[in-house]
Amino acid sequence: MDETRRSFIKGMLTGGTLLVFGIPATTQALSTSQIPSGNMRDCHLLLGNTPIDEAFAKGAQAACTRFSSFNQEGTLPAFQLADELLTNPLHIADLLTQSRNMRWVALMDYANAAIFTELVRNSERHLLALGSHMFVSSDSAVLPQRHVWTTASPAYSAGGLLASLLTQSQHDFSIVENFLEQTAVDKAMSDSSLAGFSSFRLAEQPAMHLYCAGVSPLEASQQIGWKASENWQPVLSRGDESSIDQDKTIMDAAIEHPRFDNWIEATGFAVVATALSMGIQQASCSNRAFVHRSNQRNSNHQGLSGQQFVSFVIDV
Amino acid sequence: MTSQYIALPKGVSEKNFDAAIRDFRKVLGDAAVLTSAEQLAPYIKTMMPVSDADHTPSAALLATTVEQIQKIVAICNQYKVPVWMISTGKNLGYGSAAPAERGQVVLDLKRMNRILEVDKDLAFALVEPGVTYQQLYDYIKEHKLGLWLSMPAPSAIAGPVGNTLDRGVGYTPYGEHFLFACGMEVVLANGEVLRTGMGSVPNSNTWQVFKWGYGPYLDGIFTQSNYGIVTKFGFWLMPEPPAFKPFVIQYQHEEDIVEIVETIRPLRISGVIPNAVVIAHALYEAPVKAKRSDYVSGPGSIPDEAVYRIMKDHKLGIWNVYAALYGTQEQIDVNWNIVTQAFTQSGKAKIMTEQEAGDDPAFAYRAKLMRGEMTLTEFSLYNWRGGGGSMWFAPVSQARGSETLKQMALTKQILAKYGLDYSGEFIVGMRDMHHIVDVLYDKTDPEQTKAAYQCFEELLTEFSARGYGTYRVNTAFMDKVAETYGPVQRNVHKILKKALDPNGILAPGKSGIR
Repeated sequence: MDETRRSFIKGMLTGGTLLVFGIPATTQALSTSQIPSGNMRDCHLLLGNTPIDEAFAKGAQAACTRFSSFNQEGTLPAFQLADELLTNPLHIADLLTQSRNMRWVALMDYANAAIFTELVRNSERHLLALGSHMFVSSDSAVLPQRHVWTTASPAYSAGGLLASLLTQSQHDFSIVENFLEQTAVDKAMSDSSLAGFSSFRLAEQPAMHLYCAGVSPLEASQQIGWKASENWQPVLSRGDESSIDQDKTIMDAAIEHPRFDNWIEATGFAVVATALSMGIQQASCSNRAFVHRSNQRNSNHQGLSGQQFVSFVIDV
Repeated sequence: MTSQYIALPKGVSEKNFDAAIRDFRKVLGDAAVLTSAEQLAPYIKTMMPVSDADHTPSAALLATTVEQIQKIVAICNQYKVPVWMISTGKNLGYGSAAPAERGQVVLDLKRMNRILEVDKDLAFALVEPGVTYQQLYDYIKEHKLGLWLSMPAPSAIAGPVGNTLDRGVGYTPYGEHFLFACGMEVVLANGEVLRTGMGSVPNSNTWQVFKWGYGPYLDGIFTQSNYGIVTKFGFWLMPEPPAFKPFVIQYQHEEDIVEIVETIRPLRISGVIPNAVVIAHALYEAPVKAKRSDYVSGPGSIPDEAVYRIMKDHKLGIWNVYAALYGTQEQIDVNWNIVTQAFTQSGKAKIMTEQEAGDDPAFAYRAKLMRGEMTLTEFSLYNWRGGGGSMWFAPVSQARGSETLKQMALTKQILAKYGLDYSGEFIVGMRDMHHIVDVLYDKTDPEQTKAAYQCFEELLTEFSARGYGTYRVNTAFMDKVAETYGPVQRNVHKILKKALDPNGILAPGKSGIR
C-alpha cells in the first residue's frame, strides 16, 4: 500500500474514532490568535471503566453542572480509555494529534499514565496539570490521603479547592502543589486563606506557602517531605480587612460546593472546576501545600485501601 | 523579579539566554522553540526520588535537519548554553526526557523521523533519531521485507537510536543492540559532521555492512556519552525465521537460579538458544496479573509467604525463564530436544510451550517481545505499588549460577532493609547477565522516596564494593556510578570531552562526564 493511501485510510479511521467518542475532528488548525483559552475551550473527559473512574466522573460532572454557565451543554463529553494505552497506544496518539482546541481531563492508572505522558510530549500538547492521587490504608501512614501536583502555573491549581472539599470528610490528607512558573496574580486573589487552615510562609523562602489544619507547620513540612524549619511565619491576620474579604471569597466557594463523602469524587470536582477556569484559590508561589489532620479522625478506611490514580489536564 | 523562563542554564544570565533563544528561533522558527511552562511540563516528569525541579529544562528545541543542529551548536558555543539531546525521550526509569541538570536546553530530535533506508537483502536499516520501533515495524510490514526488529519493553513508543545509544537490550537473537549497530552520523560540538566507519569514505556503499572502517573504532565513544549528536544511525535487522518456538520454564525456589543459569549458559554460548533469554522473578511478572494491594498492605517489603500465594494464584514460578528457538522447523525440533533434555534432568523444571501456556498474559507479552512485536504490557510494573516512582538498578553479572544467586540475595536484602520489593530479572547475554531490577516506590510518600534514594545509593555502593559494575543508570546517580569505575577511566572520559567539546555544551553530566 502506498504512503498516500495509507495516510488517507489512517485519517478516515482517526476521524471516525473521534466521532465515535463525540469529538469532532478539526480539519484545519487555528492560528494562535484564534485559539480560545480557559473556559472557552471544549472540555472533555478521558476515562477508564473502573470504579475509580466512575467516582471521578461523578465529581467531574457535578463541577460541570455547578459551573454550567461555562459550558454549553452542562455535561462533559467523555470517552472510555479501557486498557488501550497498553494495547494500542497509537489510537490515543492519533486522538491527541487530530484533536484541536479542546481541554482534556484525563484519569488513569500509573502504567497508562507513564505512556500517556510520553504521548502528550510527542504530540506537542500543553500539559497544564499532572496530579498523583493516593489513599493508603496503613495504620502507620500519618496522612493516608496524598495528592501531589505538578502544575504549569498557579492559574491551574486545584489544590485549594480540593482542600476545602476534603475537610468535610474527616480523613487526614496532604496536598502538595509544585508550580513550574510563578504568575503574578491579582492582589485580591493572592495569599488568600482557607477556612479551617492557618497560613504560613517560610522567612527564607517566601515562595513556599504552607496551609495547616490540626498540625504545626514544622510537623506538616516534615510530613510532606519539605525541609523542616522553625521559621514558618503566620501570614494572615483575621483583623485585616482585605483578609476578611479573601476569606469570604474562599469560604463562599466552599459553602456553595456540594458535599462529597467520596474523596475521588471530590478530586474529580476540583480538577474539572479548575479545568473550567473556576479555580478558587490562586497564589504567587512556587510550591504550596495543605496538610490537614482532623481532631475527629475518620479511621474507617474500608474500601479505600490502595486507591490510586493519576490525573491530567491538557490542552490539545 | 519573576523570570520569563521556568529555569535558566547554570551560569547563563537571563539576558544571554534571551539572546540565545532569539537566535534559536531564527534557526528553527518560533513554533519549534518551546519555553512556556505548559509546553515544557511533559519534559519534566521523572520517576527518580529527587525533586523534578532538579531536572527542569529551560527550553526545548525541535530540530528537523542536520544543518539546523550545526547552527544550534554554534549558538550554544556562543552563549555557553548546554543542550540535552533526546531522540524519542523514552528513557523511562533512567531519567525519561528530562535533562541531567536543571536549566539545560532539551534538544528534542523526535521530528527527525525519516527511515532513510531498509535493505531487505543485507538486512540493515539506516534511520534518523526520531524514528520509533512502531514506525519501523509498520514500514517493514508494509513493504513485506521479511525482517524482524529487536526492541526493549517500551517497544512501540521508543526508538532504536536512543535505546542503542544508551546500550539498551531487547529479547531476540539481536537483543544486545549495540552489537548490531553499524555506522553513525554525528554532529560534533564544533559543528563538523562525522560519519563513522566506512561512512567516512566518499561514495562508500558499505557504511551499514562493515562496522570497523580504518583506524580506531569510534562508534563506542558516542554511546552513553556526550561527545556528539547522533543524527543518522545504521543497524542490522534479523531475517524473519521460517519457524519460531517460544517457551517458558518455571522453577519454584529462589536458589534454583543456580541450576537455571548453569543449564542455560552452555546452550546460549553454543547458540542452541539464540536469543536474549529472560529469567524473571515472580514479582517482575506479577503486575501483569495481580495487584500488590490484594496481597499485602502497610509498610515493609512483601513477605515471601505472599509471593508464594501470588505464584499459586497466578500460575507463576518464582523464576520464569522465557526463551525461544528460531530457524527451520527441523532445526527447532533438534534444538528443542537438546533444551528439554537439559532442563528436565533435575526434575525441578516445569516447561511450557506456547500451546500449553494458552492465553496466559505474561507469556503472551514475553513471546511478543521475543519475536520483535509491539507490546507495552511491561508498563504494568508501574501499578505494582503505584505512586510513580521507578529506578532501574542494572548491575552486570557473570553468567554463572553462584554469581546470580549472590547478586539476587544481596539486592533483595538491601531492598528489604528499605521496605522495597525485589522486582528483578536477569537478561542472559552470551557470557554475562544484565541483572535488571525495577526499584519501585511511591513518589507521593516522602518517607518512601527518601528510602528509595538511600536504598539505590546503598545498592550501588555495596555492589561496586564487591566488584559488580552497573552498566546503565538514571540521571540522578550518573556521577556515583562513574566514580565506581575509578579515576583513570573518568579522567580519560574528561580528556575526550575537553578535546571534542571544549565549551561543555553537549549534555554535561551524562554518564558523569563534564
